[in-house]
Amino acid sequence: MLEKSVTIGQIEVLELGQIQVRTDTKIIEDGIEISKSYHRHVLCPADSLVDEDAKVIAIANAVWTPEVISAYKASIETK
Amino acid sequence: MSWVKIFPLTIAAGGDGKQSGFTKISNELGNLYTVISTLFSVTGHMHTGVDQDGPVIPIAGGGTGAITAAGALAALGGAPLASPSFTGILAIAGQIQFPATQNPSSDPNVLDDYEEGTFTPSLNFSGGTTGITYNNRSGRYVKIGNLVHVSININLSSKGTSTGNANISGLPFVTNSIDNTGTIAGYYHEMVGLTSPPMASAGGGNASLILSFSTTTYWLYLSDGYFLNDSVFNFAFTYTL
Repeated sequence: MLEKSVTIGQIEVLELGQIQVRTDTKIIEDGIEISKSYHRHVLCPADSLVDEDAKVIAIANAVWTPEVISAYKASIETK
Repeated sequence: MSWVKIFPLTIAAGGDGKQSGFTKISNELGNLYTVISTLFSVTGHMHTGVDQDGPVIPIAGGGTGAITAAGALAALGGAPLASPSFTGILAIAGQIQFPATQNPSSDPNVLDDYEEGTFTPSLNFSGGTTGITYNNRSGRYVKIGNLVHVSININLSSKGTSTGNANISGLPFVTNSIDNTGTIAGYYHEMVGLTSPPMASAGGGNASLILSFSTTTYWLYLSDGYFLNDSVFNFAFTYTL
């Protein structure tokens, strides 16, 4: 039997609060993984969290304090 | 069933006067089994034997025959080798697998990651995306160490009503703050007023590219006025982390 599994495979928080998210899609046949692919996106401090995974939202809400958001915006503006 | 052949194996059969030749060979193969078990993890279980080419270790029990070093290789009778080194050519049977989560190295001579996948690029004009729609958009990436190569396809069905400078967001990894200016390699059409092919640069700290183009004397940001509702551009870009 073929099954498709879509999960958040990796959540990385970078120094300035950016969050790199990897979504893993696996095709499983009779319990054996026969295919795997990755899709990635990045969230920067203060980005919209609409449609994000609950774990990503929880991490963003914990990391993106007003101080982190201010520091990130200041960093971007100096570049 | 798979077979592992061990060469050379020297056995002085029956030479000690206490064991028959057959018993001696069996004992030596048993010792070899122990050594192999120390060195490798084996799918299935092993038993020993001899074929016309010499001693062999068949892997049975429904295993696939794969033998993998589980982390550090163990020296014969000694401590594990944390960093086995090879002075000659390391021959690989077609594949090198990196872990799904990078094991980062600060050594500039170490390749510590490989990954490929997709992402979804988005066009915006100074951050605005009002009314922008696509016939198609797609992105693919390959990450080799700290180098990321992306290919992007954007095919608009409407450029919307936002105004400002054109950016492409949605890159798979955050760009670093230096050395990220590059030239787009690819093609574009249904755009107006350009005096050179579009260029891209990554300012660093985010997952966006800034689009621009050259004039005879300078360069300009590629703003909404250069786009049409059916603009298309496909390109590749390489940046570092």
